[in-house]
Amino acid sequence: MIRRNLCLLILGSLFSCSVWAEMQLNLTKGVTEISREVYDLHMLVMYICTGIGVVVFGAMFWSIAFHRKSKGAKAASFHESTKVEILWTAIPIVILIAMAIPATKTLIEMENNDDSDVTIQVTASQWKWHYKYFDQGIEFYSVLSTPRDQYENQLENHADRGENYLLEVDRHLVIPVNKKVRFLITSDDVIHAWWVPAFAVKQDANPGFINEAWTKVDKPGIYRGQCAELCGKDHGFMPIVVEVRTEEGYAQWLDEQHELLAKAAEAEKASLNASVSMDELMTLGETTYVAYCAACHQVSGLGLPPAFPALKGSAIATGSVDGHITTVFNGIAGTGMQGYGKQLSLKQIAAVVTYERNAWGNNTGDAVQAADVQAAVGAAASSVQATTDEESQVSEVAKEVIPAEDLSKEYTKDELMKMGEQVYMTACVACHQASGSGLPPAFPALKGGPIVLGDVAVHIDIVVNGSKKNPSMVAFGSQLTKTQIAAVVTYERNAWGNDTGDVVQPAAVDAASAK
Amino acid sequence: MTTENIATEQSDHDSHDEHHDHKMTGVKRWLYTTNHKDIGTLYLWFSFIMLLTGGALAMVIRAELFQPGLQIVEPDFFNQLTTVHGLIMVFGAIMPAFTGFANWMLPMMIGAPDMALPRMNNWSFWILPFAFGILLSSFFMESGAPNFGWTFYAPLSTTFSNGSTAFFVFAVHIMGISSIMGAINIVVTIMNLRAPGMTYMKMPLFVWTFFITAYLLIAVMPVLAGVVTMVLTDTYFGTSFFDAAGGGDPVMFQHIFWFFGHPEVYIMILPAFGIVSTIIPAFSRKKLFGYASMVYATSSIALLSFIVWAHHMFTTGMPLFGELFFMYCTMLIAVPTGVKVFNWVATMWRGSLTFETPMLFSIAFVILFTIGGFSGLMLAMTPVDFQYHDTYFVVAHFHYVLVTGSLFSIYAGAYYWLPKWTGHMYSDALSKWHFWCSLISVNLLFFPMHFLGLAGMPRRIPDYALQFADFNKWVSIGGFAFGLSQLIFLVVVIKCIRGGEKAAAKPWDGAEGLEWEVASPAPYHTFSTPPKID
Repeated sequence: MIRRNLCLLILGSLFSCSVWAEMQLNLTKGVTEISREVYDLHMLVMYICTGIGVVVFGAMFWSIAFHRKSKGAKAASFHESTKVEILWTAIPIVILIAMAIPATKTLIEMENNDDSDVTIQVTASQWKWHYKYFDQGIEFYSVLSTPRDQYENQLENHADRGENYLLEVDRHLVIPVNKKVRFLITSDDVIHAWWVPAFAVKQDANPGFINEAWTKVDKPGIYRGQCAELCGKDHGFMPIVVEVRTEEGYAQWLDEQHELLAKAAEAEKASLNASVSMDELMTLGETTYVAYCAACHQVSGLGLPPAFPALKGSAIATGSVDGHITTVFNGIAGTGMQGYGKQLSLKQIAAVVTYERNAWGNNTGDAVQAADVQAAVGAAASSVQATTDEESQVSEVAKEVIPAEDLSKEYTKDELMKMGEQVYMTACVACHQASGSGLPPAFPALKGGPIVLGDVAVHIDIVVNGSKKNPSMVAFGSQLTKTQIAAVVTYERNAWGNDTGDVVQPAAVDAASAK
Repeated sequence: MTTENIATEQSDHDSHDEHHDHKMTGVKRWLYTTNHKDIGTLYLWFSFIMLLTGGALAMVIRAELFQPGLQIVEPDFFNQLTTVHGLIMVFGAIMPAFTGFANWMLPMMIGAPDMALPRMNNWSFWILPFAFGILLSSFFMESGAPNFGWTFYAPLSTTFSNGSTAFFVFAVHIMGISSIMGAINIVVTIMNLRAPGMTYMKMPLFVWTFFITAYLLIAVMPVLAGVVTMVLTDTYFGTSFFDAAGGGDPVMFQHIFWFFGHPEVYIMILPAFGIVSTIIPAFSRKKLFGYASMVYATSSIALLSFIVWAHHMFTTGMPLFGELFFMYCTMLIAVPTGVKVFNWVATMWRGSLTFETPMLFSIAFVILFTIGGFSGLMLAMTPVDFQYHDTYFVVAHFHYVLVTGSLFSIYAGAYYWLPKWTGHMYSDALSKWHFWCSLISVNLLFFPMHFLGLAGMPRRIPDYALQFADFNKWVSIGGFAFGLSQLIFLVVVIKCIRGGEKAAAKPWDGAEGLEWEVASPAPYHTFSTPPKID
């Protein structure tokens, strides 16, 4: 009787739960072909398991109900049967094969990263995501935008939470609908994992290595996910928001971003000449500090020692201004202190440094301007907004090597190798590595690779026009001169023990690219 | 079980044996003991204390997750709680409990006077409290306790650790040494001290499962020792095993760790199979169905456990071939595991069942462990694992196999042999309360976690999005209820030690085995002359 009342109580309270109907109980079907296949697989296995469960537990409950001693059951004496054992070894094997076949099919599709339309590099760091669009020069960080007072100290704070509490970010990752989007996923510090359930994509971000994943979404909308690998203190606070737009919407967004980039570059230049008042610096500094620094160093500036030191009264925040600026700009290698040079504008860095030097009784009185930051970090600062200029820089460097191009000129192998190495070290090394061993699978090895050992014309073609299968291999035809391409192809065919002996002259590149 | 009780019961029942042994009194008896029953008792008490400690940590976790927002702990401390909870439950509660069973029961089941290496036996227990002392002491240090998860993935545990890595590594080293010594002792005992006539295929299945488990331990504990040492040198001595900047690979950490970690999973479940395979026949009054196939199934599970480790790592970016290989091998494990479940059901089929508490826990084990097995099969499917991986679905899965699996089998075994250990019957009514409270609360605790995982809640997060709020509330209520229910067990055991109905040498009419041929409670020394087995 007591038990029955208890059951009624539990059932009653479950149904009284107002949001019961809205709660998701099952895996999401998602918005891609793959995610629906994954969902179907999940349902298949679940039905099979339920079926097995009904049969096995059914037999068990039958014994419990009817073979009890209290009902006068006498124990039988059988305890062995090879036939039965073989039977219940064989049947599960058949069932398993039936499950393995569709699983294998889906898995092979999931792992096919070829022929993508858009490539985005996803770089995780504690506790934010950085997205970089290949060939577009667009890159930005994406961080949690839920205000801290909605989740911190909830015994005292009782802020109202929004619908997307902990699943909202300041800048969405925007991708086009019905296009194959490839993600190259890596990390700057610890291991994270990029997971969007609606795409059935979950891929670890490993520091020093690049993983691939892809998706092709067939419905515009906003899809939310989270970091799925324990990555330290704020692991629970680094969500992912992907906005899938129509093709026109995506093109429009790209234009907007380019405009924004131009404006930001202008503002950056302007900030170098502007002198900002202490009050303004402190206000901007505080907002920047709360958004970017407070997770570790805490709003109180007391940090969480020993991993995250206090700034209040610290040697860095009260010592040399330049030292302080470079620490914020470049970070400290091998610790949780990231470099903010790429994440913040010069003005923001100036403001946050000012704030840290004057808040919490640090009272150094220093007001740091954007120009001071530029001076302290020197040339490095000019690269802040220079990502779009990267390619032109490459050609500038290369142009110094060969000022004018004479396509009929015959070079010796040594000359080509020397020039080729220089070109390689500027234009190719980032992906294919100095050792020629690449970073597979996204960036294949050239050492002993089929392309550099195969047909010369194919090799030249892929350098000039890029790869159709692998979009991260961009076309260098417009970035390098024909002489440079001849040199780098020669270099690749002979370095690292490739030793094909091939010497490619500019005329050959000219002939090949004319086709 | 306490000193005084064994001593007094002993003099009541077995004064003859008492003359021969020079038991010390008080603390010294326990510090210096080389008696397998004393050491078994120490192991069992230690593991129960660790269960309550780890459980207390889990209840703080559940209190924080009771509703959205951060109420009682900071995210960093939350990570320390989950890490230490995992380490304590795996290395402090489940594994020592099984070693306790091995110490108490193996010699009596094979007709041996004691374990083969009694002095090592003493040492393998007594270093354990130090290991956990080191681990728990880190809570009180400036750096805090380990906060990188019980799986201590590099570089979170190396370059980015909070300074607790050294304590963690040395604690794990000591636990590992203890386990290896315990395992060597089990293997040597079983190989050398069986009573004349007890061939391998006549050994109780309980003995077989511990035999195989001990081999697994000897094989993989050194791997664990290796990987924690690499973590230590990466953190403090500038090596780069797991640091790409120095030519290392963080994913290699996971390969080495899970090469230990997956057999470890079976180290925690095979002995449970042994216990349940002893209890189900006893209360079905029917011999275990398919004894030989059970032995082969256990061995195949053990062998397969060495070639499935990377199914914990499907999202790390493995090549397709690797993913397929590990998916197929993992699915294959379902076959021998299925054979075991079918054999248990066939043992009950047309038996003459009664439902004493050990049997209740065993039946619950079979059903709930199988549910954990089903979710394991789902997790084995690589494409779907991408969705389940690192969510509460995984948390639900391994708690079903470890709590309603391993822990329930430990309770089943404890109730089954308590009369033999103490000489008294336990309170039947209280033990049934313990069972039903545990059964209901454990399902309220872990079943909704499946839904949370499927709906997309990642594991190891201190706060969550609003759509997960209702289930988390239920889970937390289940957690508190399950935690408190375990105190009933403490009461049952203390009452049973202090008195109660006298237990016969063989209190269960269907029980079989040499342990029931000695008096209850078991005399301090048993089988000084080996029994004859035909």
